[in-house]
Amino acid sequence: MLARSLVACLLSFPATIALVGLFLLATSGAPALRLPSLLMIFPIWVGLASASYLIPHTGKAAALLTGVSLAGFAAIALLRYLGVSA
Amino acid sequence: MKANVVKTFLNVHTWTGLGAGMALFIAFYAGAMTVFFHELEVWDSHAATVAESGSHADAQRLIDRVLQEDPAAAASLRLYPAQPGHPENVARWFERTEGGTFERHDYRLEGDGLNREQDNAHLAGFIYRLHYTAGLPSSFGLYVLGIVCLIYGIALVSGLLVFLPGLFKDLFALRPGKNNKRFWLDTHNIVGVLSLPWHIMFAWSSAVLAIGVFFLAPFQFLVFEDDLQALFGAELGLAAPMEPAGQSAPLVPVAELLRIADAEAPGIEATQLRYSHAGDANATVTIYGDVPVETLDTSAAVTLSATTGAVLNVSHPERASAGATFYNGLIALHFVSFGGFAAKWLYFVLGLAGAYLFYSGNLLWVETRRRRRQPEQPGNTLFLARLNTGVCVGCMAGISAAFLASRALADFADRADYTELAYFGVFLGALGWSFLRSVPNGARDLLYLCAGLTALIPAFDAIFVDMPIWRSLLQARWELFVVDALAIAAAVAFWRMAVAVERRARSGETNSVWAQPQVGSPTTAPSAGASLQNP
Repeated sequence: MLARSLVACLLSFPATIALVGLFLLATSGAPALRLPSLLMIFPIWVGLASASYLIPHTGKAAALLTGVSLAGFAAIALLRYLGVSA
Repeated sequence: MKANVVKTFLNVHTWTGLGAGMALFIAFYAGAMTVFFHELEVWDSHAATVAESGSHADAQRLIDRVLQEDPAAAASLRLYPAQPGHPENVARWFERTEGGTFERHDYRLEGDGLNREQDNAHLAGFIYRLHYTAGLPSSFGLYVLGIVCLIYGIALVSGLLVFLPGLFKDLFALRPGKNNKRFWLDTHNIVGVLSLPWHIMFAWSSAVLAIGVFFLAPFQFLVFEDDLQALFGAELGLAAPMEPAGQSAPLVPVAELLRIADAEAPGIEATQLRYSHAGDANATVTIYGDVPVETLDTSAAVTLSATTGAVLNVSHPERASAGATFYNGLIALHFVSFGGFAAKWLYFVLGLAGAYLFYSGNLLWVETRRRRRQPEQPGNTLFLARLNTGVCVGCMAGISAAFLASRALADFADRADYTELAYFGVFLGALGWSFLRSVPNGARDLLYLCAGLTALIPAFDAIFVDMPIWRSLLQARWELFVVDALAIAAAVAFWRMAVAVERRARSGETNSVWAQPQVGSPTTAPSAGASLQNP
C-alpha cells in the first residue's frame, strides 16, 4: 500500500501540472480562466491520485501517470514552440 | 460498485486516515478554537489596561514618530488603526534577523513619546500556529500539513466511495449496543457524510494556503511568460510596490488616505494600512478592510501613492474577477469571515466533530483488528491505541495547560515562552505516559488530567483576574464567560469519558486493548474466568 500510495500522490502531481498547463495554453485567449484553472489543481490532483487506485497493478498505474505527464509536457512544449503562451 | 473496488478504497481510506488522522485531529481541535481568534485575544489580554480609543490624528503622529526614531521601519511599515475591540493605534514592522527569522517591533503612542513594549499575550496566536503546523516547526509544519491535506483529500474521496453502496441504509443509522465497532462506525459515518462539503472545502483551501506556492511555481516556467505576481497580484489586490525614487517626500495624512479609500470602496472599515518605502517620493500604501456588501467575501484593498494620494489599484468584492472571487471565496470560507457569530459557532461545532472523525477513525482501526478469542492483542493495535490516546488527549490537555499558563503568568515578560512550554510539556508528557501505562489506564489518567486542567481555567480566571464566572456573566464580559462556561462543560465531558474508559476496562469486553490488564500481563491479559465468559 505504501508503494501504491507513493505512486498515487507523487506521480499524479506532474500529471496534474501537465493537464492544467495544457488547458491554460489551450485557453490562452481567455485570461479570466487563468486563476480558476490554477485553483482547480488540488481537486484534480486528488481526483487523479484516487483514480489511480482503480488500476489493479502499481506498475501500470505508475506507467499511466508517467505517460499522461510526458504526453502533456510534450504537448505544452509543442504549443510553446508554435508561439502559444498563457 | 464492484466489491473489489470497494475493498481497494476501504484499504486506501484506512491507510490515508492513519497517515493523516492525528495531525488533522490537532489541526481541527486547535482550529475550532481559532474560529474565535479575536475573542481569545480579548480573553488573554483581559488583565491589560484598556486604552482610550485612538484618533486618526494620533495614528499620523504615531507613524511620524516611528519613522523619525526607527528609519529601518520605513521599508515595510504596518499601521493597525484604532477600532472597536482594538482601541489603540498600533504600528508594526518585522526586522529580518541574521538567522532568517523575523523579529516583530510594535509601537504605540504614549504621551509625546513611543511605547515599544510588546503585548506579551500569545495564546490565540499559538493555538492558531498549532492549527496550521500541528506543533511542528513553523515552515516545515506548514508544508507537512499541506501534504497532509492531499492525504486528507484522498481519504475523503475513498471514504465516500466506500460509504456510497450503503448510503441510504447507513446514513442515519446509529446502532449503540454490545457491538462497539458498529457504534463507532455509525457515528464516524454520520459525522463524516453530513459534514463532507465542509471537509472538502477545508482540504482544498488548506492545501491552497499551505502549499499553493508549489502549485504555482511550475507554471512560471511552463506556460507563463510574465511574472506570476504581475499577472495575479493586482487581480487579488496585491499591487507590487514601486521602486524607491531616492527623494524624500511627506506622507499624505492617514485621515486623507482613509477618505480616498472610502471614496473608492464605500464604507470600507480599514483594518490595516501597509506602507512601502514610507518617506520616499514613490512610497505606496495599501489600505485593507471590510466593505458592507452582500457577498461571501467582504475584504477590499485600495492601493494609493502615499505621497500624492493617487489611486494605483482597487480590489473590491463586487468588482472582482471570477478568479479573484473564487480565490477570495475559498479563503473566506476557510477563515469563516462571513455570517457573524452564527457561522462561527457552526464552524466551532464542525471543527470538534472533525476532530472526533479522525479520533474515531483510528479507534475503528484498532477495533477492526481486535482478536476476539484471546486476550493478547496485536502489537500494532496496542501501539496505535497508545499513540492515538497520547496525541489526541495530550493535545487537548496541552491546550488547556496553555490557557492556564497564559493566565497565571500574565505579568511575566516571557509569558509567550511559558505558554508554549506548558503545551509541549503536557503534550509530550501525555505521549510518554500513554506508552508507560496500559492502554485503558493511560487513557483514563490522561482524560482525568484533561478534565482537571480544563476545570482550572474558570478557577484561574477567578483567582488571577478576579473574574469568577458569575461576575463575567453579570458584567456581560462574554469572552470570559463563554470560555469559562465551555471549559466547565468540556471538563465534565472529559471526566465522563474517563469514567467510561474505567468502566469498560473493568466490566467490558475482556479480549480487547481496552480491558483492564491482569497481574502478570503488561497489556491485556484477562482472568481465566473472564476468558471463559468471553470465549
